[in-house]
Amino acid sequence: MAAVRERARARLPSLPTLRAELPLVLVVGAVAIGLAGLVSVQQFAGAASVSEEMSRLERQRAELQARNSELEAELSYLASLPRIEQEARGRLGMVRPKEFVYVQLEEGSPPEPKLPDRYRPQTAPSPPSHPRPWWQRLFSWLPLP
Amino acid sequence: MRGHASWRIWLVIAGLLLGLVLISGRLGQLQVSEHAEYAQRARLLRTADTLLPGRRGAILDANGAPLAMSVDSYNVMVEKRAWQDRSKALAAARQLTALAGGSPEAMVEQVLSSPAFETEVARGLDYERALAVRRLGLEGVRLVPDGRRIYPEGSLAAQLIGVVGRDGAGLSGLEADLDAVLRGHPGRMSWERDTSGQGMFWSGWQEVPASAGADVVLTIDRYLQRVVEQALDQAIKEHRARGGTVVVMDARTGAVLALASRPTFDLTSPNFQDPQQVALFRNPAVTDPYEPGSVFKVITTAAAIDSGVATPNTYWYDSGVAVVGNARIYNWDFSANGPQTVTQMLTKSLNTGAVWLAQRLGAQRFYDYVHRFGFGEPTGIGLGGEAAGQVRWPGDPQWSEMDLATNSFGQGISVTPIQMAAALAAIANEGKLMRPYVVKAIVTPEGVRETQPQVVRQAISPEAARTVLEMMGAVAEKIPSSLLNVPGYRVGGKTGTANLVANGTYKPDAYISSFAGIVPLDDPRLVVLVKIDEPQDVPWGTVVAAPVFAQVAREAMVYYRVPPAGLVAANPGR
Repeated sequence: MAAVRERARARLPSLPTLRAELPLVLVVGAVAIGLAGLVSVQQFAGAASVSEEMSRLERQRAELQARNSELEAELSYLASLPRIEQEARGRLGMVRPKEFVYVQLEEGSPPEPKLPDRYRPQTAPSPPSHPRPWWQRLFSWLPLP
Repeated sequence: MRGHASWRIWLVIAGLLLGLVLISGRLGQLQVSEHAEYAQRARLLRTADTLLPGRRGAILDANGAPLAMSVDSYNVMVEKRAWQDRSKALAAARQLTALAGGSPEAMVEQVLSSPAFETEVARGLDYERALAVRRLGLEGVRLVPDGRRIYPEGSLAAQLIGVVGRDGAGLSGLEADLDAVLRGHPGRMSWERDTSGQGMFWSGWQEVPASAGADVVLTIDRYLQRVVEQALDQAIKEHRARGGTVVVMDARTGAVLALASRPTFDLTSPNFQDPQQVALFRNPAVTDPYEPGSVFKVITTAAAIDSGVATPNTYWYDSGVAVVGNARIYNWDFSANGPQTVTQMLTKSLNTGAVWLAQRLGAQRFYDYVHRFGFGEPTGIGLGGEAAGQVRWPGDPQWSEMDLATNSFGQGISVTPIQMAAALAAIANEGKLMRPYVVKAIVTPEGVRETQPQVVRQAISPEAARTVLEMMGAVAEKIPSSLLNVPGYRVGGKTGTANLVANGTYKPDAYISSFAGIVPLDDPRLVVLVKIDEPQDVPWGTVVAAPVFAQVAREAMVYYRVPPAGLVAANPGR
């Protein structure tokens, strides 16, 4: 019986003693837990990043929709009849048929057309001028009342 | 001694166990039996949500131009607890009012005096201003998406389109009648929030998307509507009238192409506080009956021609007076014309002739035709508040022979403008009475639902209708071209000048001037009914209403590219 025991002991590996291997187990465990924690932190960070990206894209979509809505409204106003009429009248100077437009001119009246004398209005002939005598011209130089 | 101590220990243990059982029971109650309620409470505490408005559908004209449409807008909400410090609140309010308008002091007062946790301080901000508010980053201030109704064509067809309230629900006109169709279905967005109320970016956002309402395409053509409104405004101004109504109808289908009434209101900023303006929200073309006057002689004539009691050339002797019982009915000008044909009765608008025709028809047949032309019942146009008009039928307790006589020339009977236009369209449409309609199609994401023209009944025979058309042409030819001029086109029509009824009696010196016309006469396309209320200068429909018809007809024939008589269209369209 003792011989059998001796043979078995020789064949079986000796069991590690817990006291000797404990630090290693703890270190491995801690590393495993740490790695697991890191993975979960990484996953959490990734999820948060994706969530933030989604949120940003949602905001961007809402803004684009709002901008689109504004542009639709602007387009409608630009294509409306009052605006078309305003542009036709203001920018293109169009008028409705039989509608008279009075334009106020800022420039002066045009120069008198050059017409042959026979078409000009007749003016009264000016009286013939007679040269004054020398003594009258002398008097005009004097400071007389 | 030992046994005594043991007993005490067991007592403590029993007490502890009992406590444990009680606590476990309570925990079981909270976490198992009442789990749903507390879970809901917890969810409410940590989650926030907001309604996403479903955009209201647009109201478009026949060619797709928007008459009313919704754009995104934003309302500004302020949390009361964030504005407890008045000086800080005032500083924040100054920044907000610089963008949203209003007084900062009033805004602060509004928030602090409100019993609510959150107060709406501004609404209807457009995108740019909302963006500016968000960039301010003010504490306790948030933007709530909403929708704002805009009207690119201004107040065009105001009564027909109608108004919406602050909550976006339709209150009058088509906005109310088609509210269920136009209204979008709101969505909801929810998210988890932290203790300060801010959303946590890592939490899940849940969104139930909003769905937009359907777009409604009308039969109204914005160009023609504008022409009609301008012509109506001009006539009212020229004759210093109280108001008026114009209906333009497609004679073949019953589609209403233009519908305008005055006085009207500013559609872009309706005043709900002013009862006088609120009264203008209704659509008089369908809600307000009036005495049609001599225009109704066309119906009497059509009945006589269709039933064979008279032809256009049948003679009768006009002595200038028709005696009914003890009453005497005279012509409008107190004239006595001697032998006259039925056509002359119509061209001269002789009351005595209309009475003679109605008496030849007899009450039963006359009122049968009144019914056949759709009077005394709503047309079914699909607009809210439509009146049936008032007709006293034979057999009614108050009916008498005098009713037959006066009804023949349009007195003692009331009709709505839309009824009168539809009846005349029947004459223009080979005797077929069509149901008038204003909604051409409803456009949803699922598809387009188009309205099909609907024949109500054959009011008179096609031959009789053509005969009456020619007689209406003879009436129009007698009107001076200075008042009725549509170059290149034959037109038919009938004038009417009726006394205005107010509170059951005739209002002295107050008239309704009207003209019902058909253009072009050879191949009728349009029926135009013009009704001017209480013109101050002259009461005659020929002078007041016929020029409005002519103006509308001239523009419409060019717009619809209807070739003048004798010409062939090189490029027919529209």
